[in-house]
Amino acid sequence: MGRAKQPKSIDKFQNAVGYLAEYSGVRGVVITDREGLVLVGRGAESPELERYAAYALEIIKAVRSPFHELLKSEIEHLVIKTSHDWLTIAVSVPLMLVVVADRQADDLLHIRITRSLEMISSYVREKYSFSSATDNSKAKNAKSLEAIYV
Amino acid sequence: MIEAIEIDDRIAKCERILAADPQSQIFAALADACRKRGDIVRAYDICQQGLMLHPEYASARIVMTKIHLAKENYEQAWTELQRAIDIAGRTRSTDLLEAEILIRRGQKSEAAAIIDRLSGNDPDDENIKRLLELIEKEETTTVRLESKAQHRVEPAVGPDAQGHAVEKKGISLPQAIGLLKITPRVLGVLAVGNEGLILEARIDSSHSKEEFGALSKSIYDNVVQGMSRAGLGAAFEVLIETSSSKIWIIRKHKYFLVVYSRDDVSMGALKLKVDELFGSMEL
Repeated sequence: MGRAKQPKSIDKFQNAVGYLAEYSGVRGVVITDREGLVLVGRGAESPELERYAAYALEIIKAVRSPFHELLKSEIEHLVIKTSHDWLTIAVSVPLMLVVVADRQADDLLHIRITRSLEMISSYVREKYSFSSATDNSKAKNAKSLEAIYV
Repeated sequence: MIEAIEIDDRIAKCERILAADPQSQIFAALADACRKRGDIVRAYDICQQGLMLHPEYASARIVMTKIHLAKENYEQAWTELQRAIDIAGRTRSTDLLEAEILIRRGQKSEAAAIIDRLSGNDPDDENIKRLLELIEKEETTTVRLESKAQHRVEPAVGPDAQGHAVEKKGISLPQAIGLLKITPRVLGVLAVGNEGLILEARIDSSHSKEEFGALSKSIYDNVVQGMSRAGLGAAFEVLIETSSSKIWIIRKHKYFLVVYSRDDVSMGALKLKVDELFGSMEL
């Protein structure tokens, strides 16, 4: 009987999340699926992380339409800075990485985010071959992800 | 006023000639007229394109030197001038320009030596007098110039230079947008009013600048609504990246600055330039 795949992949995602959460000024990091469901998170209480995930999805959805009208391409990164906060939403199909940090966090955080995204993409690609996915196979892969995480 | 009309006429004539023959060397005259009219960004674009076709055209190198001087790019002005001298040799005009660049770079003694030599031939030359005044003024404004001053300076060798030399002047919104637009890989820069109307724009896009501004404002508004619901405060900066481009929306007090670029733009350099040009600017 083979070992369940879930813990191994989750561990890998947790590595990516942990790498970000340990950075000074980072308040919360979440990886969600395309529906905004939290797969892994770190740095804040669970309800707070779920709230971040839900609002990140809402913001991405709200921005997608005018953005697509403007540039006819998909959003990969959305970075929002307020006087106190620095929110990054990075889309790595079929997942989304959400990072909430203090506005004053070091700019090098951006590099860590990029690196974490590479880790996430690489895990996903390795396991589910998303790099060459068509819409059809994306749906299929999403389904298999759902089976693993839910 | 009369001079402005003459320059406009000259621009129109040059444009007609260039339209009829895109290979024409008239581009240099057109660029110089644009420079004199104060449209430095257009002057630069025209001259740069023309020099790609006619790299050995010394007069165009001289025009480019003056454009760089107006943009306060003294090192580039120096390089262009030396290329012009290499191609066509030294003239009184190149010596005057050289003296001015040296003054701007703070090398006053070298500049004074050139001016001294030139004034021996024609002590009443107005250009010499202007350069001497410039040296005197530089003595009191060196510190301001070192901070990559936010003012426009006309080369002292032209008749249009009088009264502009080393005059501290706040950079205008159109000038700042023009200067940011010529940054490598920047495809468009827009200032959008709070109502979504364009205040000033220079953009390469299939969309009209009005459409681009309105959609950018809509993106910003949607972000603000989402942030407000998340209890995260009002956004003052939004950056969106795709595989091929970036849109950066910055909230200023009375307008939004929208910078549209290729994805491989250097954000660090871009941020520095935005700070430098728009840091303290409000309408």
